[in-house]
Amino acid sequence: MKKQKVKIWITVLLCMTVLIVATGLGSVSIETSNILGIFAHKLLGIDLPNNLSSNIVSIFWTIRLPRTIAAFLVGSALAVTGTVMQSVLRNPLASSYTLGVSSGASLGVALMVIFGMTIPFLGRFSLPMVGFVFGLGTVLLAISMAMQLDKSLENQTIILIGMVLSLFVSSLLTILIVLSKEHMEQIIFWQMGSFSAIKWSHVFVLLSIIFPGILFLMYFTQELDIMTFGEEQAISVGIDMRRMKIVLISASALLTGTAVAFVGIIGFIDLIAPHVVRKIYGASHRIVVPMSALFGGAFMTIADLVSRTIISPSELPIGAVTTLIGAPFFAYVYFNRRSVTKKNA
Amino acid sequence: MLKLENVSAGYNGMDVIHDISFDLSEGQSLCILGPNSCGKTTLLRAIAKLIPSMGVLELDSQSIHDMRRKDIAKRIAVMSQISRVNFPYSVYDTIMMGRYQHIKKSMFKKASEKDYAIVEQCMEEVELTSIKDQMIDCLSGGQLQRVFLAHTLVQEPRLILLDEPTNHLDMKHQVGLVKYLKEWSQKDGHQVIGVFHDINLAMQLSDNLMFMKEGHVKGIGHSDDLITSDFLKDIYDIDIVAYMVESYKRWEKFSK
Amino acid sequence: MMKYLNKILIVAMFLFTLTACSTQESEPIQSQANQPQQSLPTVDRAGNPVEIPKDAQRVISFAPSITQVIDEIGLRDKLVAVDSQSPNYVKGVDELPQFDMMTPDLEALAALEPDIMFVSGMSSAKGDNPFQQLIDMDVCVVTIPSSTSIEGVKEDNQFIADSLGQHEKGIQINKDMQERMDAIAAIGSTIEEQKTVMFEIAALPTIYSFGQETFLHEMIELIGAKNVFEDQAGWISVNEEAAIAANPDIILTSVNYIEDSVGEILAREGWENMKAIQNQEVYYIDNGKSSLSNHHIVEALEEMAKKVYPEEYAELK
Repeated sequence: MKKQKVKIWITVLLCMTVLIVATGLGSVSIETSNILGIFAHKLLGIDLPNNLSSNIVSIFWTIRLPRTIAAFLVGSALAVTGTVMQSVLRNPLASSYTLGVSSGASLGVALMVIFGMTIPFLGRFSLPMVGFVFGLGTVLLAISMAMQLDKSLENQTIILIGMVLSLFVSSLLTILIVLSKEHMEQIIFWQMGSFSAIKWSHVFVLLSIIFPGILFLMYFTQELDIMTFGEEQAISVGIDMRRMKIVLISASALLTGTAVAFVGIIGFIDLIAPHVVRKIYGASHRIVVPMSALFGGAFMTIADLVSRTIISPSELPIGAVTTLIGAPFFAYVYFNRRSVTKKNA
Repeated sequence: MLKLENVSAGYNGMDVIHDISFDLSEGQSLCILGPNSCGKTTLLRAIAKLIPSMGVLELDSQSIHDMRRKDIAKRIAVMSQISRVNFPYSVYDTIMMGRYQHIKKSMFKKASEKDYAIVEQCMEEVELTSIKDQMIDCLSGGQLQRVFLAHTLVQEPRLILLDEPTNHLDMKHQVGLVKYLKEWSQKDGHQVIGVFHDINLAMQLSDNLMFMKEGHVKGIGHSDDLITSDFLKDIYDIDIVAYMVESYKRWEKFSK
Repeated sequence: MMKYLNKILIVAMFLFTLTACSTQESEPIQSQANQPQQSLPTVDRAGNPVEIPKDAQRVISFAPSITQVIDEIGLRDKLVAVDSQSPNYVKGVDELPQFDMMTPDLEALAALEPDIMFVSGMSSAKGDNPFQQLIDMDVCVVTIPSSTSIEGVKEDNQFIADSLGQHEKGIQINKDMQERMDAIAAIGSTIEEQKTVMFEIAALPTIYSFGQETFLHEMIELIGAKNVFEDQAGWISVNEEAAIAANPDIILTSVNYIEDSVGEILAREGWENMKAIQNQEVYYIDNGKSSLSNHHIVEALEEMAKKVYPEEYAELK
């Protein structure tokens, strides 16, 4: 247990370092002392250091900080939902994306873009809202269809229906795009995912959904542990598997849907975060879930940093960055530890 | 009191067991025997409501069909075959998971003093206290079996359903497990229903036997009353009695 | 023996047809004014060899920039079809059949029997030439890619004029262009304290600007200013942070698909502390004149000059 505690503290410290570094780097470098100065100014009213131009303060406070926080939030949400979905569906490839969040949200966004609508009182939140509703809606549709077909809601059924529905929705999207080519670029850009448009107002919405969402999922860590041993065992111990699946999958879809709605589709993190975290921390969800949140958050923050600095002034699509960095990292952690455990066996 | 009347159940719309009826009074245990695919496991699953079924299924005069999952879990525990696990939970944590029903009542799902006490007591009884912090993916088959036994016991059930839990174990652990369960079943109104392949081992648990074939009950009662050469030949398509007698003669020689 | 004869006949006919379309002979062109003999171009602006017919009567233009030049030359009446955008830029062509730039209906195009068809590189964004079928049918397809320099623009103008037998007109157009550009350059080169300019051609969520190797970049330099992205090349997307950090003195935008593109820029969150925003030095430059690569860019140039250095260019007409 002591070892675990040490590991946890290291992770927390790493996260904080990542956040500081990420907000300090970009098209302009901002030293840590200046960062603290800006915080002091904004939160406590202390005067800014002399040599700090207000333009740079703008960059830091209005552009970079919200963006970095959003990246951390989205990263943690995706990592946590990945962990939960993999445990619920007992499938290492399971994620909310495979059940239709991404294709649903894309379809919603495409409809908005093509028909140029905005919802009156939502203003600039119309697009995220629609994306979210469609994304969550697709998953809920998948679950209800699965429930019709299979009373006991077997994992296989859920996964299959999810995939079929997801692909179907994707094809609808393709047809839409082909019929209105002038919007193709905008829709595809949205799909590629980006944190470039994030402002504080977005961050507040993200925070108000993701933070409680993650806490909610953490309430079920015991159930998640028990579910690892199989459905029959879980049922026998008294878990209502059907209800649990519906609750957990819906909650995950809610989190993922929110993330996707604001920043597009950023993959890979929900897939690998659980594996990496389990390799380091073991299986107990009480630790794995929060650590996934930290790991996913830090990872996404780093990915966003890379995406906005490496070909400045342009940006790399963040989905590409997460996979480019993630794949070798995953390989290293996964196979390295594997050989370690083999040696010990 | 467990009561079954005309119970049928199956998978994908096809019934595997038909018209099963029997009663089990308090403190009474039962062994379910029969050849492969005779429906033993299906029956067990039906009783635990792991699969839906038709017919009367009552526990203490309450219909199991109508019971909520948590009410069932408070009284019935299922112990199936688990040969290997790949995930590193500790022995202690795994056993504690059996207390789920009792733990989740509290606000933050924290274990209470009673939970800790019961877990430790059961760990003692199955002699696992010395390895309580070891990871279960590194245990031997016998140790793992005891972990899941403890996990089942801490649930504090009245009825334990065993699904051939000894198949992969060596003799010592097979016999040990069954002996332990027999002792357990003889106090506090506990009951065990075990599905077995090995008739000898079954009889270690209880003399109350039920034989099934092709989804039907072929006979139920005390071993003395039930077992005859023809009866078993009908069930297993092989003269078990003769085989056993022959084996006995051979073994008798070894004891001299 | 007969088979042999047939083959020779076919080849002979083929060769004959080719020479009919050939550019070798220089017959007098039966067009409006007296034009000195000028040989038709043999290679188009994309480097493809072409056989341009003399005295083309039926012309198709597949890009508004080209349509404008044809109009300027005075040969608008020879157009038999245009792309769907051209009517927005040239008056008097809206009655003509229009075709979508990205997915042209090749059969209908061929049915119009054009003598020459001008296309811009844009239509072949897919990689393969969408007009290949027409080329195979012996339609004269001439490609004029969007130029990356002002000199290139002038050459494009001349090329179009030459292809239609209006060499002199082409020279005239370019001469006018050059005169006006020189007038600006004369003033521009005297400016000592150069202002920095950021020129947006697309607004949020993805801002687009440009670096070297674009005629817009040359134009910025011509008026005596500095492009903040002069270290880049071609068309680039710019993330907000980079734009704010660049902190240009002036922001120009040619975005016309938003109602108030200037207002949108002034209202951007996080941009408040930039020089250009605080001094309200954000201006709109006509989209049509700054994005189509033909002689009209000089009008955009004059607009830019006056907006960036109003005092220095106050006397410019």
